[in-house]
Amino acid sequence: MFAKISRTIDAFSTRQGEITSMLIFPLLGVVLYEVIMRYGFNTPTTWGFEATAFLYGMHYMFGISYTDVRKGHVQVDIFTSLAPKKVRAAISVLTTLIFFMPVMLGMTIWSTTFALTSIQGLERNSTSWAPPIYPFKVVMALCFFFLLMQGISNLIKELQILFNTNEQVES
Amino acid sequence: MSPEILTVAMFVTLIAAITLGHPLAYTLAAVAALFGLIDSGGDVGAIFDMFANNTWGLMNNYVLVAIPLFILMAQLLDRSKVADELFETLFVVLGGLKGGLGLAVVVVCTVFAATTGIIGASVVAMGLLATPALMKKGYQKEMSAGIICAAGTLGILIPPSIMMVVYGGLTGMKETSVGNLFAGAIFPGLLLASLYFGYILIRCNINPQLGPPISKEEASKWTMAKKIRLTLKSLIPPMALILAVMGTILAGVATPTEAAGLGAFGALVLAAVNGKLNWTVLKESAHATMSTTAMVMMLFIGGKFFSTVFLSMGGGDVVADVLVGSGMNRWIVLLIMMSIVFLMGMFIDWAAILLVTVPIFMPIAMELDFNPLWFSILLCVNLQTSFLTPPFGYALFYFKGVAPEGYTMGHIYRGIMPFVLLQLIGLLILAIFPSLVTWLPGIFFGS
Repeated sequence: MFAKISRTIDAFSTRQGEITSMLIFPLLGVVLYEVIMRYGFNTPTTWGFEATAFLYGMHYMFGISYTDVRKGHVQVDIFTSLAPKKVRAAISVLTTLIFFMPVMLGMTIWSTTFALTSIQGLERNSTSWAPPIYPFKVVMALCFFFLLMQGISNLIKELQILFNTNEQVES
Repeated sequence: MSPEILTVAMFVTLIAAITLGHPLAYTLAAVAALFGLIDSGGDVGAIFDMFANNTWGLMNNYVLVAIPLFILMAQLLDRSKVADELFETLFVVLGGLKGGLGLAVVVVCTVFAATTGIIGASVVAMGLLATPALMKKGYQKEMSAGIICAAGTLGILIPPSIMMVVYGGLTGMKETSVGNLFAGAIFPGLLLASLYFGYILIRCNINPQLGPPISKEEASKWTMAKKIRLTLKSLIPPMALILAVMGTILAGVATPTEAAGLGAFGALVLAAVNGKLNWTVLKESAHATMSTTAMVMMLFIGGKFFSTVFLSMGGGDVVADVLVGSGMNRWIVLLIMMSIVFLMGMFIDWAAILLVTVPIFMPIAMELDFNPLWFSILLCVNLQTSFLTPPFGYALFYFKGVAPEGYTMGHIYRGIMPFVLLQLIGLLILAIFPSLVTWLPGIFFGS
C-alpha cells in the first residue's frame, strides 16, 4: 500500500510540474509584450512588472517538488555515495525526518495561515495596478504542501530499501 | 549563548549536516530553523513567520525573473544546435595548429558563453560535440577534459550569467546591479578565455603529443576566403543574440530581465530557423528550465533563511570583528575571504556559496573600503574554480556524464588542475588591475 502511495505522489509531482513548467511561456510573453509596448509604442503597461514577477514566483514554486522528484536539487553525496546501499538509505531516512520534515511541515502550516489571513482580507498589492495577491499566497502554501508530500514519498522509498530484503525497488 | 559560540556552532552544524548528502537547500533551511529557535528561545511562530515572509519576498522579485528566462534561452540554444556549425567551421580553420582543436573549443565556448548564463548546457554540449573529435585526433585525455570543463564553465562568468543575476538580487545595491555586474564581468571573462587559449597554444607547441594538429589535407580543404566566409557566417546567429541581450542592457535600453526575454525569444527564432522548433523541443526545454530554476530558487530560499537567522543573531558582526577588528591588513582579509570561497567551492555549489557568503562578506569588503563591484567580480571569478575543483565540481560531473568510454575521473581531475591554476592567476591579475573590472561599467553606466 505504501508503495502505491509513494508512486501516486511521484506521479502527481511529475505531472503537476510538467504542466506548470509551461508557465515559462506566458511569462516570456508578458516580458516581450511589455518591451514592445514600452519601446515600440511608448505606452508601458501598468501591470507588466508585477505580472512577470508573480508568474515567475508561481513558476519556480510549483517547480520545487517537481525538481525533487527528478532528483534535481544539488546534494553533496560524495561521502554518502561511498557507503553501502542500506546505510545510505538509513542516512536518508534520518536526514529526511530530522532536516526535511519539521521545516517543511512548519512551512506548510505557516504559509497556510499566511494565505488564510490574506484571503480573509482579500489582500491586494499596494501598487497602482493593485492586483489581488491572495491567490499567489495560496499557491505558496500549496507548493510547500506538495513538497511535503514528495518528502513523504521519498521517505517511503528509502524505508523500502532499508527494510526490503527482496529487491523490488526499481529506480 | 553568546553570538560567538552560536556563530561557530551554526557553521560547524552546517558543514556536518552537508556531508550527510541531503539536498543542500533543505539542509540550509533546517540549520537556519534550528539556530533561529535557539536564538529566539524557541519561538516557533516567529521563525516560521519570518521564513514565510522571506519566501514571499522572493516570489515577487522582479530582478530574479531573468533566471528562468536565461535558462530557457540556453536550453533552446542547446537544442537548436547552433554551436555545432561554429565548431565544425573552426575545426578546419584552427585545426591545422598544434592544439588547434582545443583552441576551437575555447573560442566556441567563449562565444556561446556570451549567449548563455549557465554552465550545464555548454559543458554537456561541448562534451558531446568536441570530445569524440578531440579523441579521434589523438588529443591527450587529460588535456581535452580540462579544456572542455574549463572553457564550458565560462558560460556562467561571461555575461549574461545567472550567477550575476543571483548576486544582484542578493545584494540589492546600486553598485552591484545586474547591469553593472554584467559589464564588469566582460573583461574578466575574456581574460580567462585568453589565458586558456595561450596555455593550450604554448603547451601543445612544446609537446604536440598533447594536441596534435589535424592532417594537412583536412586543414587545407578550404581556401582562405572560404574559411573567413564560413567563420563569419557561423558567427552571425550568436552575434545577433549577443547584440539583442548584452547590447540592449549596455545601451541602457532594457533591464536584464527584459534582455533575458529578448534572448529567449531570439533563441526560439534561431531554433525555428534551424528547423529544430517543435513541440518536443519546447516541452523538454520547459521541463529542464523548470527543474534548473527551482533548484536555484530553492537554494535561494534555504540560503535566505540561513543568512537571515545568521545575521539576526549577530553572526555577521562576529565574523566582521574577527576579520576587521583584529587590525589585519585589508589585503590579508581579502585573501582570507577568497580562500574561504575557494575551499567551499570544493564541496558545495556556487549558488549556495554566494547565498551564504555574500551577506557576510559584502559589508566587510565595504568596511575595508574595497570597491563593491570589483569585490563582487573577484568573488564570481573565484567561483569559476568551484565548478572544477574536486571532489565536488559541477563541470566534472557534467563532463563525465557525456564523455566517451575510457575517460576516468582520474583523467578529468588531472586535466583540470592547470586550468584551476590559470583561474587563480586570472584572479590575481584582476586583484592587481581593478580597472579591468571597473572601467567598462563606468563607460556604460557612469558609476
